[in-house]
Amino acid sequence: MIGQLWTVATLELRQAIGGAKILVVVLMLFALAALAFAVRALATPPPELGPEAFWPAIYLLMLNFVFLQTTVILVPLAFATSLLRNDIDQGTLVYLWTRPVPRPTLLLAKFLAASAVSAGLLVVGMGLFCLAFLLPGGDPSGGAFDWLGRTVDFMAAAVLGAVGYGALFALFGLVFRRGLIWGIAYGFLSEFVLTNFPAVVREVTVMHYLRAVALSGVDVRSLGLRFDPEDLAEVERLLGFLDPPSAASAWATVLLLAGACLVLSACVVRAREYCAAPARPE
Amino acid sequence: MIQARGLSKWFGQVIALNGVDVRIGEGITGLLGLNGAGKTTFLRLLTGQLRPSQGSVTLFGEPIWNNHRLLRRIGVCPEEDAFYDLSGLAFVACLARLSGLRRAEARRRAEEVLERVGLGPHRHRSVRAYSRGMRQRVKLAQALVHDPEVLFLDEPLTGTDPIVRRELRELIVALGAAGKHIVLSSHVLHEVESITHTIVLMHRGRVLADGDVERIRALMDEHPHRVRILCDRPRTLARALVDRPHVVGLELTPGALVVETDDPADFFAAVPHLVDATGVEVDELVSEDDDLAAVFRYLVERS
Repeated sequence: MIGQLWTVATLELRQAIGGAKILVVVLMLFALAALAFAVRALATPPPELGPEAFWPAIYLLMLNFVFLQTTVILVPLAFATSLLRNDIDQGTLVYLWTRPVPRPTLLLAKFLAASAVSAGLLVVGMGLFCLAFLLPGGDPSGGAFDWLGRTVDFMAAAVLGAVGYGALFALFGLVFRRGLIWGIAYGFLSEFVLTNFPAVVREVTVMHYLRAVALSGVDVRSLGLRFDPEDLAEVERLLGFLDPPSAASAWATVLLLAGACLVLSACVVRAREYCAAPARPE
Repeated sequence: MIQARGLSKWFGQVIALNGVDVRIGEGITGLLGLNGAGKTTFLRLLTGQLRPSQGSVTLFGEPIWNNHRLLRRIGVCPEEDAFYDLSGLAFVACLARLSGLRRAEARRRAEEVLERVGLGPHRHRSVRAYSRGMRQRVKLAQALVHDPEVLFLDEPLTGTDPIVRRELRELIVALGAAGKHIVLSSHVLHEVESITHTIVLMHRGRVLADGDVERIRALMDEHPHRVRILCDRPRTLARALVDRPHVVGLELTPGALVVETDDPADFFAAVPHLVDATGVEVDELVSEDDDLAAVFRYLVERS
């Protein structure tokens, strides 16, 4: 069974790496790194804030909004919604469906491969982003801010996002004929909009838990920002600091959700027919 | 070996297969039908790719849908001209691995079957660079690689040149002789006849007839053959033909005469003499019953 899992995962990896999709994602990651470079090179800290407080705050905000709340959703969306769609469209599904491997096992192997690709791209993208941000002028905090540690926290959140969103979008791809469209709608409405709502609402989003992992090592007060208490509350709200779950419970919640999505996907893939397109009488 | 009972399959409003009752035994069986007859849908049901909308289909007495253990006993050569972007050897070995063979065994078996289908020297080339005939062979190789008991071949000869077609035909016959049970679909009667005499005739989602091809041909011989003659004076030719003993019907159309005869051999022998005697200029003489469509038309009318 391990050999069969590995074979399917290898085929999925080849499809993911050989397709045009990965080029778009890589370009997007380079564009984000270029954005980080441009912001660092062109922006000037306001006089009331020193560079040692300004740049870490900007870095965290950018990682949060540009990476976590956008890219960490889009990359798994691109790879996970098409787990079977690629094989259906290319007509190769028949080779998988007529082998003595349970369909849920085939799906699991494909999911693992797609999640690995998403996670790898996100981690590399974040590394590039961090390098690009520090490239013009080096460490602006003078060693007070742990750039590597915070970036690794975001990378961990991205890996968790690749698994959580991967499982969710895989289910979308199996249930809906246009899984990508549904995924985009869900990603925007739930994970981008709802996640910035007050605490109770955003607790039903995956992003709430990813932010808890990403920001688990950050204390806004330690950044040295001089805010009014109201402004500080706003910053904390934006960064998701209000009653965040612990990193461990955030991991557990997202993994549980991923597991539930995979079980549902297994039920769907056993019950539904997926055939080389178009499924028409001949 | 295979049994379908009241098997139906529909896609939305379209009925692809309608109440099929058929038993397919051992050996080679040809699944014969025009495009749109439901052959591919039937094969997909037989191989567990589709779930019956109604009725049942069993293989070795077990239902095939969601029965992955049974898939170990079958090999499928699909009609789709679709492949992973791999070399011939990697493609077949990869699917052998999926069939449960260990890495070394998968590679050894892949080399063996590629040799057997005549792709040994080309095994390291990318499948996508193969000719149509080579792609048909590599599809056959992946179906054979795990040594299944039953092979399902969907239009295996389509798109191949005459030489490849002959070689593939010989290979299929050899596989049958070696004890494989084979179900192959085709829309070309003589192609199937050259491989097997056991056929299942399908038309518009129904099984019209099944059994020995000779029996079905005998049914056809009871049916008057239609011959269309394109000529300059069809009425003159009709007058000459009306007294012939085996001519049972005449139909005049503009520029053509359609003759129905219950003895085609006698009719075709007489035509040159009649043309000579009447001086009619014949442009074309077409037997409307030579193609598979005529077989189906007749069987549909009968049923």
